[in-house]
Amino acid sequence: MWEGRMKNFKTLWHLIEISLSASMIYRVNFWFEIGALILHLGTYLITVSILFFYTNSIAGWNKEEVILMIGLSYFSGGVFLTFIKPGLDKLPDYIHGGDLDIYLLKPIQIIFYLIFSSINFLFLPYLFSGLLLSILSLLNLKTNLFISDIIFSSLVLSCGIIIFSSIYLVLICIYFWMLESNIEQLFLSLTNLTRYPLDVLNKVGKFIFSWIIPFAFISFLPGRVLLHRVEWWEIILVFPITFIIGYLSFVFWKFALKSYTSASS
Amino acid sequence: MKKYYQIFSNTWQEYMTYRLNFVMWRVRVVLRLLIIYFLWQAVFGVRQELFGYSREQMLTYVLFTPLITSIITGSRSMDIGNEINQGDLSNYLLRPTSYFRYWWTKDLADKALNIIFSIFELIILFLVFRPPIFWQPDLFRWLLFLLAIAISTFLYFYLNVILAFVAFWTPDYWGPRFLIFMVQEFLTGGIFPLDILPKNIFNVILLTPFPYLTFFPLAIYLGKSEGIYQWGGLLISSIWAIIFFRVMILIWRKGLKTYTADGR
Repeated sequence: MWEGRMKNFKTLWHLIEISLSASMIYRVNFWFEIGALILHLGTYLITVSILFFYTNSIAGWNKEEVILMIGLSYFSGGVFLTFIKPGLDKLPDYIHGGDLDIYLLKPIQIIFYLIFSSINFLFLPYLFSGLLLSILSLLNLKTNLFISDIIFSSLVLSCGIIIFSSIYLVLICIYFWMLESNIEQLFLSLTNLTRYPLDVLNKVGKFIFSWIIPFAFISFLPGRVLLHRVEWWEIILVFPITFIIGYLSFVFWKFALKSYTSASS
Repeated sequence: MKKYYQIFSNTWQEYMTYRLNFVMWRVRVVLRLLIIYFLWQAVFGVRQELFGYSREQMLTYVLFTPLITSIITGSRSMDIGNEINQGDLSNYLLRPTSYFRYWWTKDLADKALNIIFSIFELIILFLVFRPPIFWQPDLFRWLLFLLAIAISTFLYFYLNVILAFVAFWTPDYWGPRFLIFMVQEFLTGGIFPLDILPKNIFNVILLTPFPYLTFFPLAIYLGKSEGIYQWGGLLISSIWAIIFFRVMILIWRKGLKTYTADGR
């Protein structure tokens, strides 16, 4: 059993090494990503500064609190872009090109293989800049933070990333039946929402993006945990929701895989 | 003229073939618009005026932004870079059509389709949210507004083609476009009207080509451009359009000399 685990760990480590080598091939891209990140983050921070020029509060949130939201959104976005998205994005091409066979024959879960062999280290700066921004805004806010706040906030944020990735997997699975979809791009564009407090939306919008398409768990809810503005039932509810969405997406993936025809291979 | 009509028609048919892609793109535009709309509603709160804009003017600015963007920046010509890299440019050089007119026609087809969808979406949003809208009563301002849009449409086309022509020299032609894309929404005034920025920064941005791609035409429409700034804006955007046109022709001539139809 122990040997088996070690073997799994070695496989995982080799896959990460492959990802790292692949990322290092495109060194020019790395600098473009850094440039893009600075510009992107810069425009967001300037926009927030402008919005708060004449007002101290937007929908009950002050400037530092909104910056905390942006930081958490960048952090979770960085995790998704670095570790999850690159692997899942390979699926449509593999499905349509009939190349999925190669991976189905490997003695390892295909999703697991794709994710760990496709980590894009070029997006790590998003993750770190988000973390840095969140820490700086928390320091400026002088919030009394307890260890429990950080633990619960991290747990909710992790659940947010799992939910986000699960929904993304379901959208990618649509390519088993369709040549074009782009619905995943639409989904990604909604992440703009995670950079502002959901309180700016009307009641219907807030409900939809809190509980139906639960983007709230990516930055809004973890932010509220850190700011002591959350109800306990909201935190408790996060875990069953994450489990249900994660499980359903896995079931859907298994179901979609049955429709794979290996065409073009 | 007939051949360009055919190109126009073919471009529409391409969109109709991949209609789901197009519809998804439009849904993204509407969702983005809604986020900014609600954000500004929250910023205004109970106030009726902020940053020198009435609620009516600001919401008009936010809601009209996608329409103006569709007209000015709706484009297919970013595909040029890929065609140069793949060696497909050779096909066009053999055809009895002007290369620039070909892409201009494709751009017009893109703009037309996006404008139709934008108007349709705006009508739905008006019916659902019933926002207060500023209606410009001055006919002269309407003419200036249309003139500013026309100049900026040419300006953007030339800029877009120049960025694609980078592919004559490097396969990483997307780099400069990507960086410009990251700041484009901000510098064009796609998120907020640029005149709410500190005066010095605003004046510097006015010297660049970006504010003329969204902010300036809308400022004219909303009556926020006055006197020398209005005429100065039209002059600066015209100068940029002329500069970009000259640069585009120059790069095209030089690029063709280096073009080796690699990838064919």
